[in-house]
Parts: sequence; structure tokens; C-alpha cells
Amino acid sequence: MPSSSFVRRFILVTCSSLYLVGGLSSIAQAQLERNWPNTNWWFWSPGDSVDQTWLVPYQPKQPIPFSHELHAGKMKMPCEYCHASARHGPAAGIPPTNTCMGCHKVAATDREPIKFLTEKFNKKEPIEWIKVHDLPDYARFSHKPHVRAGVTCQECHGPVEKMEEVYQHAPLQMGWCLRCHTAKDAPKKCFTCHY
Amino acid sequence: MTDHHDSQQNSSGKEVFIRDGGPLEAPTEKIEKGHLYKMLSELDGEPDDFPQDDEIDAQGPTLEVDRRDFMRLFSTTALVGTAACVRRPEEKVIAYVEQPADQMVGIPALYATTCGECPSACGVIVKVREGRPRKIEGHEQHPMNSGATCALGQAAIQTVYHPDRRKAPLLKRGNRVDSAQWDEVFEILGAEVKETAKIGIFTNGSTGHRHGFFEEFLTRMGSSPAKLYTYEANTLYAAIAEAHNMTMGRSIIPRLDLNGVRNVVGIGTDFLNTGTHPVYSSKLFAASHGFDAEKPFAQSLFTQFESNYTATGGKADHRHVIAPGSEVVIALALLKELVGSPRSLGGGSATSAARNILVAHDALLNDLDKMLPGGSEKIRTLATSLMTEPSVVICGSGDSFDQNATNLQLLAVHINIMIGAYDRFLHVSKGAMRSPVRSDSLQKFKAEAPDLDILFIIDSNPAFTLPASYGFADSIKNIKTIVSMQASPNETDELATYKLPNTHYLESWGDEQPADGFWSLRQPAVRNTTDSRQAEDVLLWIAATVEKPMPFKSYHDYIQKQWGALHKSSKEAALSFKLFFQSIQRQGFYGNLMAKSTGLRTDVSSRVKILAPTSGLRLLSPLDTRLLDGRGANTPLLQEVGDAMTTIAWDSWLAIHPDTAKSLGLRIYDEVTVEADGGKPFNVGVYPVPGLHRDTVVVPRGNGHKLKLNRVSDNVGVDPLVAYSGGVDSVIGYPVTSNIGVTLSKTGRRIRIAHMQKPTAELGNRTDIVKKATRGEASESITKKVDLDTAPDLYPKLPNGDYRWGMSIDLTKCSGCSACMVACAVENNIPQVGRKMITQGREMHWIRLDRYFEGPVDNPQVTLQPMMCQHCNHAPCEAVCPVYATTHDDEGINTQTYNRCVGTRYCANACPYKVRRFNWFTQRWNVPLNPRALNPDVTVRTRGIMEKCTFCVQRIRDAKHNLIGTGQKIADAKPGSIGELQTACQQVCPSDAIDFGNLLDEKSIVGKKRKDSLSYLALGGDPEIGHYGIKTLPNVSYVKQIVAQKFEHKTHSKDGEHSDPHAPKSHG
Repeated sequence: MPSSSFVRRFILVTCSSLYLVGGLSSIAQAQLERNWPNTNWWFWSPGDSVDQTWLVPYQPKQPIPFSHELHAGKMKMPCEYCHASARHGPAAGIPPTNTCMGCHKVAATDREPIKFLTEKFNKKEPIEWIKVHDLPDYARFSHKPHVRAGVTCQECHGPVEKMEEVYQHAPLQMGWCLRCHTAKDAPKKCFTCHY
Repeated sequence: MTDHHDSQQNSSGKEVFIRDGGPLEAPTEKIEKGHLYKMLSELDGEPDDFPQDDEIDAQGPTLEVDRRDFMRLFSTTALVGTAACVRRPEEKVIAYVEQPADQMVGIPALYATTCGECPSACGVIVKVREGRPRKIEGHEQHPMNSGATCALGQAAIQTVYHPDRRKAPLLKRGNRVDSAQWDEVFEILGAEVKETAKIGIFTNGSTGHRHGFFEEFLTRMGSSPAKLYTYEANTLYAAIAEAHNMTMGRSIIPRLDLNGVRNVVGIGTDFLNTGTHPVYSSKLFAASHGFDAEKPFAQSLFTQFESNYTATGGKADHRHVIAPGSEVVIALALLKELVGSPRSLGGGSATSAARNILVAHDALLNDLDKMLPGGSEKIRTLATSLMTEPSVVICGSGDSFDQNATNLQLLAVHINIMIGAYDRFLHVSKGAMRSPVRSDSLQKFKAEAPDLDILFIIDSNPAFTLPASYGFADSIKNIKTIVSMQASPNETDELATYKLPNTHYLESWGDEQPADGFWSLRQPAVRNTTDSRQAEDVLLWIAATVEKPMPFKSYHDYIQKQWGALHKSSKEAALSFKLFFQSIQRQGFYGNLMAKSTGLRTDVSSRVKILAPTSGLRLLSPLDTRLLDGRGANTPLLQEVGDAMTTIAWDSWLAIHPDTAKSLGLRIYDEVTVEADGGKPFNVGVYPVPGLHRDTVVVPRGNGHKLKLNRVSDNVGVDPLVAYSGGVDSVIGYPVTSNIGVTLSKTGRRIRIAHMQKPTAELGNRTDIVKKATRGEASESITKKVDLDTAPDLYPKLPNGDYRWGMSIDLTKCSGCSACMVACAVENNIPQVGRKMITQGREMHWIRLDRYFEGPVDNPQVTLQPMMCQHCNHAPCEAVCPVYATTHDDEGINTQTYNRCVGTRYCANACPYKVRRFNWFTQRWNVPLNPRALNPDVTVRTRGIMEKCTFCVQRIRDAKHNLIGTGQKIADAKPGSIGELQTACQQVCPSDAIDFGNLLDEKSIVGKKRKDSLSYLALGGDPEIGHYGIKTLPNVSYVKQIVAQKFEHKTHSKDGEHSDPHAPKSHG
């Protein structure tokens, strides 16, 4: 039989730690709500993108300071001009270097980044972009049904045409997915994404 | 059966129940098994105990952590985990520099090519993802296979990435073996080739331009085209070709066409699995032998005479067990009846030739009744039906590769002439199949090999597939230089001075011409994965090095030149060649099977000298149905699926009649030494199989490789060919690989044989799992309709949205080829777990082949039942999952969410079909399970996760995504219809036994079959009499097996004994 003092201490420690954890998570929840309102507990489901994005949007430094604001915004190039497989397959696709070189053989060849690009292209070396939008491996996402169902790129990727450097606009959490799937009456069964 | 629950009064006066086997033993006796049996042990009551050995214990890694360590570990992990949250690792996206025109990230590029695993030239479509082949599917329009492939063809995806393939050429210098550069090889080998004209090439069977190219090379080098030797371990090619050469004057294999046939007679044949064109034949046979409600009386009758129990024999309506080696006697007896008949269709010379044969061999027929009890009467009846109805006789398989192999084919020619099968079911004058080998090659090789200075052995493994006593190694002993060019290393390599890595067929150019006027192109689907060169290109380089260049830049160039000639004579001659060849590359083939007329006579005569069969215990060594002659042995996929009739995987076994075993004092798993006169003895485990002749012992070929380089096949099983001591076929000189006298002696040891069929693998009454109907019942039933979905219950309603996915499996058609198991594993990233795990019942197949016997052990009926997740609407597994990892989809699919699963395994316990598989370990996807062959559309599961059939949900998703925005619905799951959705098992099935589609669509095949009274649900009772079984209401339904006669059994009487005389007898 444990002594009564042990029991008392045990209860005290348990209660205070629960209180502490609860308090901390409610602060976190509040922070979360500020960034993305109406997010529910699904936010805490594990995943690659769960970490720190809810404090500061993830915005890694890319090897070339490619500006979507210039290309997609000012020049009004359609998204699918470069991300051509979005409509046809699971991945939107990063354009091959020769897509860039279609214009940049002549356009802005005096700039440093374009010189870097041309050099890489001539050496037949690929550009190593840093992945911004990353989903956990157990969720099977395909661009095809979303693009074909008329979901615009901006609904998930944010105002890319205004982004000087791309950042992660949405949390890409299951709860966030389901909000839209619920609103648009899209399939919500487990097997829709997890198989 | 006594009541096992005896109630007793214990001391406290309460009633307790005591079971015979103790409180913890499962009450298996209470499960009514019906009359179907999986293991013989169920009949004779002997326990089916595995011999206990050390390897059973201490499996896999064990983790021993005490509480304190656990706390330390736990807190450290928690800390590290929190810290890791701060910054996520950067992941790179690497795009193409220049994107190839046909490649898009995430979208498969499809290449049409020709399968190169055996010479039957099936057309295949290779799905290439990001430059890597990852699934092979049959070409739907290709007439050789109409979309199906065999297990071997499916498994090619694993051989192309096989880590055992040579990375660079090897060169033997003195006693040293060095790796070398190709330039070096050309230089040294070129110098040797320059000095001599005595060059020969030994290669495998092919019907295309390949052999022509080799002949051209030999001519160019000053040797002669006659020094090209072609060999296939499947003796049928040479035997059938030679029989037709002797009678009709051309080496051909008649093209089978079973349209309109009423009687198919097999004499020792396994044409559905190890025949000349197994997939082609299976398609035709399933169409003619399967039951079609629209043409209920068109179903053909299959009669089989055999001494082994092959999967083909399992399809027979009437199966007669004959003594081993007596196939020729049966054929003679049949010929005698036919010649004597006034309705015989043979011409003058054919009849007189047949008479001559019969006169010369009359003495053989005296023993007929001994070889087949009641034989003369049975054969007389059969002959009458052969005369009156459209019929065909198919003879021979690996079981009969004895001295009479070619004679049996000659008799088959005469029989088929007599019954008028030629040019009706066996086409020789229009679109006959070409023989992939020259029948006289082996005889010639043995005589001429000692005269050669240089021998190229290309894609052939004679050192393993010919018995050692045949002396292949001896005959090449004096050849100065042996160059072995193999796609994967094999035993023949070890004899060679040069070991040059050849390309896999998925990396090669080439073509096949299975029938005159029909061409099938082979083109690379991937760039060479190792530093290999195609053998033909190497020969071109050598020719250039010795300054006798051939006028082609490469073999690709040669193929194009040959097709150029074809183009000029074709209807498309007006088109430019470039366009023509591009269209061929897209389509994969050119011409049609019936294009060319050969104009052979069918009124022929020949002389036959049949050697009398010997009685006594005879050893048969047929080709293994999955591994064939051993070419598939190094592929884990094929080893793992197991033999259909025994379900043995990763092992060799000796199949024997249970009574013979008993009389020799042998039990299951006993190790025996098999000895034959003059041959080497070998040891193998005993596995009694019902339905064999009492004099037959069967040890299949394919395993028993002893080559360290091949990490999968090394030391797996035994090679029975060591026992053979030099007999040859009396006509074509192929070594005998079946039917020799043997003695068996017990070694006293017992060995485990890894077989997957366990007596307690499912719950419930077996007669409720396998159902049969006679032909009469089947034709009566076509007017009746049932609804399998009417089970009264309180569960929620069935899905009523757009789709409810369902499957229908026809038990009459399934011929046990196991291609579905391989296709499923490739499509769904299912790991191969190996022999140990299988002995522990931890195999991972999502679809398995259950095999049930019914009837007397001398000649039982067999049922092969593909069993996968039944996708129950009222699934017992869903109710027990504590974390909702397995749930029901609104489209009827029983779903398994891997990331929710915590591995309690409750669901596997609850599943009455035992189809759920648990990942006991995280599989290493490096060697030999290659990560490059993984399907990126399916999650790779880790330890502690339950998994099972998903109805290929990734394909359903893809098909649905394609239709978004079009407003269309997936019409029917078959090629050519809207959506074009097929599951992997359905797509591959050579017998078209599996249908898949939308049950809510009444016009779909599955929708119709769901209402067919021949359909039933496994463990679903009999809705007609208001009995609904266990009411799981699966979305998978089975179509009853149509049999010639059913074994009538009385239902269990109160004492539980079978009082019916036809019931399986108990032995022992």
C-alpha cells in the first residue's frame, strides 16, 4: 500500500502538470487561431509541416531569387505554363530549365541570377529548388482532381502572384483540407487520401 | 463426432465446461469442415505437425528494455522530438534540365514491347514512371495474350532491377577473374576471334530476327550458320516442331483455336501453365470451358489423363489417373479405337500409317488396363465422342519429357488427323506458330562442340537446365574461349572465360514472329540499368574489331533494316518508313496471326518407334509452374507465390500418393533420399498429394541452384535433374528429364516445408466457402435470379451513391497460374518475406490461392479459389478496431487507414476469411526488394501496421479523377469502356476469371453476376432457403465451380460420421 503522502504528492504533481500543459496548449491554440481561424484539433495531427509554420510562414531561401510577383503577377503568365502537369497528374511539377531558357536566352541576360541559370543550363545541371509545400508521406494528394474540379491555385497556395519569394500560405493540415472538403461536399472518407 | 463440451460438476457444485484439448486449444473439431479438405492430415486424423527445430524460435530482432531504460529512452525521445520541431529539414525538388517529350512527373509513360521471359512472345505494355519501369501489363490488343501475362512475365519488373546483375564485364585471366572495361574486352576477344573461324553460338529460343542475325554473324566470321544452336528446356517446343517436321514437312507448332470445340482431351498435358504458349492457351481454354449463361450448352468438356496432378488437370471434368510414362500407351489405344472407327476422318495414307504404327506396337496395349483401370472401356467411350463431336487432343508436358516425348507428339498428330482437329482447332495451314528452336540442335551441338574454338552462350543456362549426366560441361571442356552473355548471372557463366553482362529484355531492341506474318516488336523501356551491352551489339563490335564489319551500326539499325523489308511489302508501303516504324513502336506489333498460309498437308504418314514404358516407382520432374526451368528462381516474387497445387513456397518437395507414402513408412515432412540407377542421390522432404498415381513421385525442376552470386536462389530447394543418368529422347536427342525409376529411403531427419495452406486458415463451414454445381444444375439455374444483397439485418443500408465497387470471381475459370498474386504484389508494394516467415504463417499476400480437394484421395476434385479481402458490407473487422483505422467507404470498400492503425491485430482475429496481413517487421526495400520498383502511388507500410486488399484504390482514384468535369461515370471496369478501370489481379488474369466494377450499375458485368443464381458469397449461406451464413455480406462474390459430377454427401448425422461411401475415406 502506498503511503497517503505519496498519493497526495502524486495527485498534486499530476494536476499541476495537466494544468500547465493545458494552459500552454491554449496559448498555442490562440496563436494558431490568430493565423488561421477556425482550425480545430486536426491541426495537431502529426505531419512534416506541423512544425513552426504556425508562427512564421515557411519561406526557405531558393537558389535563384525567382519572383512569382514579376512572372505571374506583372507579366500575367498563366500558372500552368510552367507547372504543366498540375492538370494531368499528382504533381504540379517544377518546370525544367529549358522552359526558363525559352525566354531567358534573350531576356535579362545581364542579371546575375540569369547568368547563374544559363551556366547551369549549359552544364546540363539541374537547379536544386527547395520544397515549400510538403505533405506527409501517408497522405496521397493529387493536383489533378483539384484543378479539374475548378479549385484555383490561390485557394491553397495563397496569392502567389503577389509573392516576391514563395512562402507556405496554408497549414496543409488535415483539418484545413477537411474544411474545404466539407464546404464543397467533396469526399471526406479516410480512403480519399490515406491508402 | 462426440460432444466435446462435457459438462461436469466441480467441487463447488457449479457447472464447468471442459474441452478435450484443454481450455486453451481452439475448438477446431467443432468447426464443420464439410467434405472439402486442404491437407491430408484432415482425413486421416494425423496431426499436421511441423517438425520443431531451432530456427522456429528467436525470429527477428528482439527488444529487451527494462522499465528504467524505457523511461530514459522515452524522455530523451520526447526531448529530441520537441527540439526537432523547431526546424524542419529542407527537401529539394530537382527538375529536369530538358524534359523528355514523353515524360511528365507523376504520369506513367507507356511503352509497347514484347515479353522476353519465354519464347511465346506475349505483347506487354510497360508503365514507366520518371524513367523507371514499374509495372508490366499485358497488351490488350495483342493477339498472343489479349492483355494477360503469366506470373513470370509480371515478375520481370524485379529482374530488371535485380542487384545480382553484373555491373561490368568479367574476364578470366589464368586463375584470376578481373572486371574489365568493354574496350578491353573487344580488344582481347577480338584478337581471339581473328585467329579462328571455328565459332559457334548457343542461345535460347526465339522466333524473331535474332537467330537470323546470329547466322549472319557466323557467316561473316567465316563459320557457318549451322553452328547456331538453339535450346529451350521446355522440350515441348522441339518435340512438337519435330513431330510436325516429320509428318508435314515443316517445323511448326500448330496454332490452337478452341472456338466451337466440344471435347478437349489432354494426355499428360499442362498446357495452361507450362505449355508452349500458356497465356494464349489459357485465354482460349477459359473462353471455351467457362460457363456462359448466354450459351449454356457451348461449354467444352475437358478430359485429362495424367499421372501427376497438375493445375491443368484440376480443370478437368473427367480426370483419369494413369501410370507414369503410359501417355504413349493411352495415345496408342485412342489411335487404335479411332482407326477402327468407320467415321475416322484421316485420309488414305494417314490411316495406313496409323495402322502400321499400331501393328508395330500392339504388344504395348496389353498392359493398358494395368496402366489405367478399365482403360479399354474408357477409351472406347472417349473415342466415340471424339468422332461425333468437334474435338481436339493436346499431349505432353514436363511430366512426359522421357524417351517417348517426340513419339507422343507424333501420335498426337495422327490422332488429331483422325478426328479432324487440324485446321479447325489446330491450325497448320493458316497461321501456324513458328518453332522457337531447331529440334536437332542439341544432338548437333554434342557432336560438333569439341571442334569449336570459340563458343558464345547467349541468354541460355544449359549448365543448369540440362542434367549434369548429359555432359554439357564435358562437351565444352576443350573449347578454348567461352563467352557467356547473360542478363543475370547463372551457372553457365561459371564455365566461361568471358562473363559479359547482357541487357534485360526491358533494355533491349528485338522482335519476335510467333506466327508467319505476325510480328511483335521489342523496344527498350529503360536505359541500361547496369554497364551492360546487348549481346547483338557486342557481336557487331567484335565484327568491327576483327575488320569484318557487318553493315549495321547497331542491332537497332539491323532491326530497322529488317522491318524496312517488311514495310516495303506491306500495305503501308506508301507511308515513309519512319512513320511506319513509329506507328509500330506505338502499337507494338504488326500483322495478324492468321495472315500467312503455309499450305501443309494434313494427310500424312510417319514411322514411330515407341519404347515400352517401365513400371515401378517413377520420378517425374516437370517444369515448375512459376520458375519454369529455373529462370524465375532468383526472383523473390516468384518464389514467394508458391506452387498452386501444393502452396509450397521457397522449397522443393517430393509429391507422392499418400498410400504409397504410407506403404514406404513415410510421413509428411520426412526427409528421403531419392536414388536412381546411375544418377546422383539427393535429399528432399515428403509432401503427400492426393490424386497422383501410386507409382508417381514428383520433384519439380527450377530450384536447387548452387550459385553464391544469386542471393535469392542460392541453396533454395533441390535440383532433381542430378538423379537423371543420360537417357535421351529417341527422336530429337533431348535428355530425359522425367520418368526414371527411383528408390526412396528415409534419412530419419524431418524438414519443414514452407507451405501456405493451413487447415485452420479460415473459419466456418467449407461447403459454404467453395460451392459447386453440375452442368445440369448450371443450365437449369440460368432462368433463376437471386439477390445476394437481401440478407435481413439491422445494419445501415448499403451504399447508394454513384458507385459500389464489387468483384466477381469465376471458380470454373481459375487455373491456378498465380499471376494475380504477383501482379498484386507489384502494384501494391507488397513485400516478400521469405521462407522462415511463411513457415510461421506471416506471408503478406493480399490475394492468395486457396486449394481444396474433394473426393477420394485416388482422384479428388480440386478447387483453386483466389481469396482476398471480401470488402464485407457488415465487416467484423470494422467493429473491433479500437482506433477506427478500418472503416467503411461510401463506395463499399472496406478501408484500412495505415496512419491510424496501432497494430492491435483485433481485426485480423475477427476476419472470418483470414485475409488481413500484419507487418511484423519493417521490410528492407533495398536488396533484393528494389525500391526502384515500388509504386509511388501506394504507401509503403512499416512495422506494426495491418494491411489488406484495397481493390486497387489508387486505380479507382485515378480513373475517377480522369472523369472529373466531364460529367461521366465509370461505366464498367473493362478496357475500352469509360474510365477503363481494372484492378491489377483482374488485368493480369489469363483465364478472365476476375471481373471488377460497379455493383450499382445493372449493366455492368459484376452487376449482372450479382443477380445470377450461380453466384454466391463466401460464408454467405444459401439465400434461396433463407439462410444467410454469417451475414458479412461481401462485395466480392464467387461463381460456382461447374463440375461434371458432384460428390454427394449426406449432411452430418448426429454422430457426425460420414456414412456416404463416396466420401473421402480415412486412411490409417
